[in-house]
Amino acid sequence: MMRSLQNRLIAATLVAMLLILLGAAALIYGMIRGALVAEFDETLLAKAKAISALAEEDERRFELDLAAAQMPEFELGNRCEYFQVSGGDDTTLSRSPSLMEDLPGIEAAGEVPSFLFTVLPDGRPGRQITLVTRIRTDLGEEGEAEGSQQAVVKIAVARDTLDLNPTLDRLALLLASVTLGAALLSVVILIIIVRSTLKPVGTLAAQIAEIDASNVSKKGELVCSIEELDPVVDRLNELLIRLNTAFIREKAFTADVAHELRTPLAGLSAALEVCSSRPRDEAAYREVIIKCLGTTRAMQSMVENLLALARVDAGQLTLRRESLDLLRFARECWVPFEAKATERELQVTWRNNDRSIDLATDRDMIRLVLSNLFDNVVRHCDHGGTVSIEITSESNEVSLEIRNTGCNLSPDEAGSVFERFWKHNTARTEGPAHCGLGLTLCRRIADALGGSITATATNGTFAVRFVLTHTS
Amino acid sequence: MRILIVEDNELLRDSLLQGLREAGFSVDAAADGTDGLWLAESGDYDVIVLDLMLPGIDGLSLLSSLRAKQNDTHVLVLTAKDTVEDRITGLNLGADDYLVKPFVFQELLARVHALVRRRYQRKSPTILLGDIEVDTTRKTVAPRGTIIDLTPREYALLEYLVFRVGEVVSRTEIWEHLYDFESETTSNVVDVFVKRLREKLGRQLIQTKRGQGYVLTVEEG
Repeated sequence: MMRSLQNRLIAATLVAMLLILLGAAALIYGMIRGALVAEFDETLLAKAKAISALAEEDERRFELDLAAAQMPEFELGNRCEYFQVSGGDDTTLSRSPSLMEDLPGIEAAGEVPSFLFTVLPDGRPGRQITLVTRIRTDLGEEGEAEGSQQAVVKIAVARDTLDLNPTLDRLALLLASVTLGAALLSVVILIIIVRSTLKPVGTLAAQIAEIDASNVSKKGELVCSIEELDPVVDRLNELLIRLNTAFIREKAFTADVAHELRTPLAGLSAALEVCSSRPRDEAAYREVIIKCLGTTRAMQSMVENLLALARVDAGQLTLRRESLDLLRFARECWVPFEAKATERELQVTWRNNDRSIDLATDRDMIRLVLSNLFDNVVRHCDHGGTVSIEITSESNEVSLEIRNTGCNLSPDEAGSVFERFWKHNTARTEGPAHCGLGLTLCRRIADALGGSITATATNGTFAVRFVLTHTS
Repeated sequence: MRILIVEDNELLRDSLLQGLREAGFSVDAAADGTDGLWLAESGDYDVIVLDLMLPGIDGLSLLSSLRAKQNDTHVLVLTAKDTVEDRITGLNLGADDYLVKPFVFQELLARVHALVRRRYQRKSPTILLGDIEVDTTRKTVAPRGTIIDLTPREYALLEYLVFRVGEVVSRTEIWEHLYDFESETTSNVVDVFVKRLREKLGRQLIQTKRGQGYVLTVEEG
């Protein structure tokens, strides 16, 4: 496989050019050869006509006055020419002095002069004309009354083509060398043209080679002066933008993870250090322990979210489906959030259209989704606000909709809550360790389970709808 | 000395508040950038301990708007971001020191002490006033080589006057540096503590400038 565009271009152009040149050469050769042979044939025809003019039938006897014609070429000798005259019945009437036996092919002669390449009796290559013509007949006295008559004879004249062939050979050689020379020259020119034309590709490659993770944002757009490469360059630039976004996100992710883990860690460390710096009463110790415990729990759930998200991202999520009553399970998942809901005086209502909703699904994944959704609700609902959790089972799907009041998101912003590390600018989060990963994780899990999760914000009410099909 | 903590993590904020108060500082705390900026602009703080990732106004914006208003309170930035670029950005915006989370509380305390000394152009943690040695790290006062008992408030007042030795300091200034917003006292309390310090360290150490305030002077020789 020839992968180089340059080599492919050169080879293809070379083959095409060789074919064109060879065709042209063959055409030129054919035309010149035709002209030379036609000239040769003219001479042969002239000689045949001259012989026919010299010949006559005198009282049924054929006579040919060769001496009068001064045609020494028909004498036997080096490079001599031949002729033969036959009658209408193919009897040989006359032969040139050089000819010892009949010329071949004379019998087949027709009305039109015919030419053919042949081998002369002495072995030289030659060309022969065969002409059917009429000659004068002199019937003598008896035939006088009938007037002069004409007899049909066949005249063949042959001559060597030794002069013609070298001319043609020289022509062929000339044409071949011109063709070859032109081909070689065009290869050189082609290489130069193709190389200089493809130079921008090399420049482009060099630009790409300079890009790595550390400078993807600093390097400007890729540019290439070849218009045909524009689609490729455009796609590459788009890819670079996407890569850059990914890198920025990755960087932000690392920074956010660092912040979200280091800050509670700093809190734990400071709390314990300050607490242990002097003796305190039991109540003070208890207070610090409870606070620290809350922080470790929050950190734990964040680490779990991070790990789960990393696994989902890496495609390492293995689902273990088992039968589950979503109603009971949701109540079970709500338990850890009850205290917080009571503390914030939230009005929580549960609604369901069925007594039990059985699903075959992954318990741990559903728990992660519900924990994150419940955590969001108790965190973001306004103090004393209302929360409704509605679980509905329909013929082919189960939906869990959680609504809470106190939402200050615009409908547009509600769509972005699933983006990684998305945080509402003015959101006053309650409690520690909230890094904007929960809803991202929920969506990824919902996708993995073959369900869906959507969020809407209308008139201060935030609603998340988690839908699972019975088969998911 | 009066410190402002701007930190959104409740546990960390409360612990710093308690720790710094126990170390003898008067401390105010804000949970977000908006409150933090308001407090920083309205109170005369010696050091601001500032987290960078804050709800409302983020730490760096808070810092640059403080500096834009010619507020040159020393700022110790607390951050979970530990890249060199982040540090450079912070320092270029006018932070005085940097501490990466998680940190050892004692280190934060040491850095806060150092920033307080820098504010009053002191390099050494121990200050000698005639024959009285004040150790600002251990918070001890030793006239003629013997450490005497001072309550935290008494010590705080003495330390502030020591830092501003030779200057006339108004009651309001003293009160502002000694009491945070949670203290339900008025500047009259300053007079009470000045009286007690005079009793413990001699009358001539702190003199009253009528209508202006107090001045701490050292008799040469």
